[in-house]
Amino acid sequence: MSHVAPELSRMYESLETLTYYEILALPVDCDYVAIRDAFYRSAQRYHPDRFAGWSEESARSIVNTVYKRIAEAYNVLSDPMLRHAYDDARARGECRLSDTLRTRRLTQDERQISNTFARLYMRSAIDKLARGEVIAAWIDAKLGISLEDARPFRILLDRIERSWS
Amino acid sequence: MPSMVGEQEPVLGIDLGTSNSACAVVRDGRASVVRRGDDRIVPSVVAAMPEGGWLVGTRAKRRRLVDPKNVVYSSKRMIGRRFGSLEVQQMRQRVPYSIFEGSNESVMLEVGGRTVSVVEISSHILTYLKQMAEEALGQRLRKTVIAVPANFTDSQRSATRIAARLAGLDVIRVINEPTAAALAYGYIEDIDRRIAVYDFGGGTFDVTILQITRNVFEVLATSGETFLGGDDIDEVLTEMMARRVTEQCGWSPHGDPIAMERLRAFAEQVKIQISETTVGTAEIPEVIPGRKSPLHFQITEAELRPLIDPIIRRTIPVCQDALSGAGLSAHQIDEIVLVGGTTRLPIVREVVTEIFGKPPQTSINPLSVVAVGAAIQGAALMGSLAPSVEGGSTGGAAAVLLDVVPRSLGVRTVGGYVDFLIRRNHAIPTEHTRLFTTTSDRQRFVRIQVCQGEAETFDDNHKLGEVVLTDLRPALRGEVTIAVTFEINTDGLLEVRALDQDTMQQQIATMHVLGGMSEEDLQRAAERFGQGDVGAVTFQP
Repeated sequence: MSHVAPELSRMYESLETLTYYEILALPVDCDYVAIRDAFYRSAQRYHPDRFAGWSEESARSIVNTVYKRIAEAYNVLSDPMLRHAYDDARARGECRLSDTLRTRRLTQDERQISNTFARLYMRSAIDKLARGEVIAAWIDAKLGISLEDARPFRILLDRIERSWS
Repeated sequence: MPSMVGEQEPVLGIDLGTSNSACAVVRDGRASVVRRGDDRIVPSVVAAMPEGGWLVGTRAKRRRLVDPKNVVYSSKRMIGRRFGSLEVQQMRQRVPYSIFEGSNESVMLEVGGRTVSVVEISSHILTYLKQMAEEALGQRLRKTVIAVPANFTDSQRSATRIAARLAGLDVIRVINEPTAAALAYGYIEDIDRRIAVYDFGGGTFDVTILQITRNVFEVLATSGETFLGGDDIDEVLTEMMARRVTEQCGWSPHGDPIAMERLRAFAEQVKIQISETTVGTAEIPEVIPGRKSPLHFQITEAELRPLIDPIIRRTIPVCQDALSGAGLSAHQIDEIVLVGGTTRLPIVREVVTEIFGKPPQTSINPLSVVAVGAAIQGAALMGSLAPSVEGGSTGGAAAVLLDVVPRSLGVRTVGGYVDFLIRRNHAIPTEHTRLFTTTSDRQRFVRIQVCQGEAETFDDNHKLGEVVLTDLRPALRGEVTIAVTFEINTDGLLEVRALDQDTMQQQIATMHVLGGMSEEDLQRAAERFGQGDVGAVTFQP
């Protein structure tokens, strides 16, 4: 693992100045699949299990701190609403999304959906609708309802389709 | 090519099961199940002997036939749980040994005139496994990777760690049982796969959907039923045998607990025979010792089928629930891995094939597959399986286990509801903070109650413990803000912190775990186990 070590300490030292995109080595306009892939790539390289043989406390703390930030970057960027909030924060020159903003509550709609992925589609659809991307929102809602026939999807689809006619 | 790091102490992979346990090690790049004589599987049973000692395993299980009140089994169902929890209360109805409430809402047992905690019972089993492995390998073992069910809560994981510590084992990683099972099958090549782990054990049924992407293991969803397993099949067979006794001998063994225990033991053997051949027989010379009541019992697989079919079919909706949680349909599953003795029954394999539309993997013994996987992960963590690193590659056949939060974590709010801080299936490690304010004027302290589960009301979830933050500034309600932080580390263990933002003093209160052992209890237990050094064991899960 020694070849990873210099990279790891470089990352550790500049952690507070790196954006989530930089941490995962992603372009800012990337899609969900790219985020997921980047996270898997980083996890393989920097997961604390990779360094289980390191017994020194200070070295372990570096590994844990870096990986925690990688997971944070993934958790924020993979949630469309959080990613949106993060992009706003980044425009203000911030590198991280504040810890209270990261801990967002599920919306009333999301609470009525039990399937994790359907919930993700719900978030994405609402977010796209708010930005005026009506067709993209409609597609997400359709994908979501195919996973779980939940009421919030029906209401959302109805709203979108009515706006067309 | 795997390269061995010489002189390195092997890591013991442990499957501490509800009904049976097993352990395995990796040596010279090969995983093998530890055996004592012909025994590879150790019943998770601990008997208190009248003269003061403890028996573990097969010999302890036999004590159930003569001294059922002093034999502890299925204790895993109670580890890390509060006395008042539904599971513990159900156990009190079902088992002959005495279960009562200890300090801090913990579960205590009274067997052989001695009072022991559930953690100590697990510790006896772990000590037995450790000694068995040390004898077999002829060397001392200290390090372990221990597998726990994917849906184990934080307090259950902590309690399991403490049990290992009491047994003199250093837990380098707690891993999920289904993940271990998948690791045993070596699904770590560069092919991305989705795996369903169908774990039908003695007393519990769990199904977990895993996704493997470039050596990264991710638990997508897990679902289970806590009282469904091989025991239910034994029950059906025992009942048949009891009826047969009534017909043949003219008296019913139902009122005699020892006779029923004997029948149950034979029923289990009949079930195991049917798993391998098509007929199971039991020749019992005397159902009750001293009374002339011989029983000849025979049943074919075809006769058993219709009787146990309804039991096996109860696994179908659980599988569907897990698939739905993962957002997948059955045909999107690439492999099905079987875990647990009950999966050796042909009818179970048929139902699995029916659910997923393809036959399951059967090449590794479902009773030891978890231990093998835990040993493989242990070796990978210690580097003894890692290939030599060449060039700039990240190199390594070792899998990265990317765990998620198995169940949502939240705090109690006004009106008995839950405000969730971390939602289920969130990647770990993770840290979440939310601000709370005081709800009454001149409030001097806040009590933050923590639970794990999916219910909207607090009481319907598993209560983990609480944090009390004192000496708040006397102020009008809503004026004092408290930041509550939940942090989950790589092992899936939770730390809860509360910070008084008003004084900005790092007044950090740590969580008081319910159902755990108190410091004094732990110290006493450690002395009994001859482990003087428990300073490193903390209760903060």
